Amino acid sequence: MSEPRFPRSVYGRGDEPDARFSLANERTFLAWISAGLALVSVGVGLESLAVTLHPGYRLAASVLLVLAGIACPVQAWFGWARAEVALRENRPLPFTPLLAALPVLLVVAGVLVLLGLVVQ
Amino acid sequence: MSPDAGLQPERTSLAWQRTALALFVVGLALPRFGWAQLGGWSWLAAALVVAGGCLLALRGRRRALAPRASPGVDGRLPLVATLVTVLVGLLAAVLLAG
Repeated sequence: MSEPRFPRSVYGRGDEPDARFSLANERTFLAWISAGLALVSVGVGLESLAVTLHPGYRLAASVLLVLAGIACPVQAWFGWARAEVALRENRPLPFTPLLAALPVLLVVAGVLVLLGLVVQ
Repeated sequence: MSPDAGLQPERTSLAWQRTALALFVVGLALPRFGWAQLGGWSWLAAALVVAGGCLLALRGRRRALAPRASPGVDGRLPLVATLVTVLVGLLAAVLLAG
């Protein structure tokens, strides 16, 4: 029996799942990675906008977006690992807290930008 | 017996390519936006991120098309992608703080 693949906490458990589910899990992981990169890009890009934004609100929105952008890859990794284990053990997929929080974070960032546009 | 994965490997391979592309764009933007705070380090950061992107493009395609039980289909490439993306986020935080 060969060494289980890295990480052992995932591949040391259960059996090989349906390839389609495992691939879907991998694409979900990549979607979270892409989301993180997009959020960070917008957070930094806000600073470069030619539109006049109140600096306090602009910074607040940027910080919020960058923090969300750092949370996404963290969720990507742990979400992928937990989901892969669930697939291998034929159990229900775990819930993703960030999935519920993300729309709220985005709306708050949007409101901050709007305030930055309105307040002078 | 696992059914044929159909078009899923192709979709997954493309997803790796798109992520690699996003990393290229972000990596190349680092010296542009980060010069004031990072100076020459922004070039090193850019090289790291772009190298990560290359790794994702090449390895991602291979692992997506390989049988799922292969030794190459493990958590190493996802971990690399995670660490590079977290690095980008931390650098962005540095940019905002500066």
